[in-house]
Amino acid sequence: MGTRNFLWNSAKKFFTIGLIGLTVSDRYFSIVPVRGYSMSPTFNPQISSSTGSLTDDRVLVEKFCLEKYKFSCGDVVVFCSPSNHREMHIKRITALPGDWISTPHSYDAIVVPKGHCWVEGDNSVFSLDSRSFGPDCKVQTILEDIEDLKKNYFESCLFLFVPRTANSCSHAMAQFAVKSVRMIEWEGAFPFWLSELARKDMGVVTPFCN
Amino acid sequence: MSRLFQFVRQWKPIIKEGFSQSFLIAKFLCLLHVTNTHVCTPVLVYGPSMLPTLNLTGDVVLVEHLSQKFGKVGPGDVVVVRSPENPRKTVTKRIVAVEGESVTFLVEPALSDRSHTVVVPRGHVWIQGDNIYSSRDSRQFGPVPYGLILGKAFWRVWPPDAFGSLSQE
Repeated sequence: MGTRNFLWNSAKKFFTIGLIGLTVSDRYFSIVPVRGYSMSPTFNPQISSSTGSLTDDRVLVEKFCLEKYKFSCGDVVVFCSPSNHREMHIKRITALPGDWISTPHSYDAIVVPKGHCWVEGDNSVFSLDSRSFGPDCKVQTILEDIEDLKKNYFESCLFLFVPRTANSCSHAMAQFAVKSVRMIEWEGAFPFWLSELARKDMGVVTPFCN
Repeated sequence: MSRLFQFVRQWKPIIKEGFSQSFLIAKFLCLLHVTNTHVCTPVLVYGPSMLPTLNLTGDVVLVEHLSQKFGKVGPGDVVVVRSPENPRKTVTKRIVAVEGESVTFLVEPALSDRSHTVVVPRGHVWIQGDNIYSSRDSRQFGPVPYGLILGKAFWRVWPPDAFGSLSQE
């Protein structure tokens, strides 16, 4: 009888704490972990070798701005991705409605429509943002496919950005694969043209088993 | 000094009572907020864009949020959506198509028969008012991200002679 009372009281307490916590988190403040490096060096300045979430930066997010929806250029905001409402992103606003933005893919300039804003990550090299939320963005699709492969097929996968000048090996292999008709397997030894390119990429003369 | 003690002793139970009552009111307001934001809330909708389903002068409908959270909102549902042109406004329209589907619509139904076909991109929905002659919807501002949907309207509460569920079209 005493334990039933005790359990009921604890349940009521948890329920109350849950309600208050949810209300405060919705209306006033909440704490959000930042994953990924698209806002480097502002958040997550070092690329950590461990993929654990304990090393992520955590930020305090205030919800008072949602009353008036009045943001300024330069604010860092947390939002749901337009292409997947379950994912949250954190980026910086770089243009407000009515501002002109030059698109990265062409020489046009577009005006930001009413009720919209332009967001960009601080780390412009690796950032999926307004430049890629356009209606036909191939980079976003490729990155999403890689994420899918990583989750379902590979044990571990590290994604790095390497500029084309140091990546001629992969580029040549991709071009070769596109042109070849049948499946080709190499085991143990690279073809000569590939090992030459790999040597050039590494910048050192490395003996390949060829 | 003893007068101060007397004062405190007199007012202490009243202050305690005041705090506990305020806490009760705060708990009630939190419950109200959580119910309105995450479960179900009444909304006043007005305007000509959803005639004949909803009246011009104003209807109060119950909007539930659980379907949106579980992704169960689909074509044919009347939804309340945060306007993509002005985030302080909410609009009520019907979902016509979801991501991946293609929509054919009349660009200017009152003026010409010209129609346009669009494929709804990933993560977006296409909303249209039932009264296409007087509705500002996806035909003007394009497909709307799913995350802007606030909830699905399922029951009309006011006016009392139209009390009942909002039927599928």
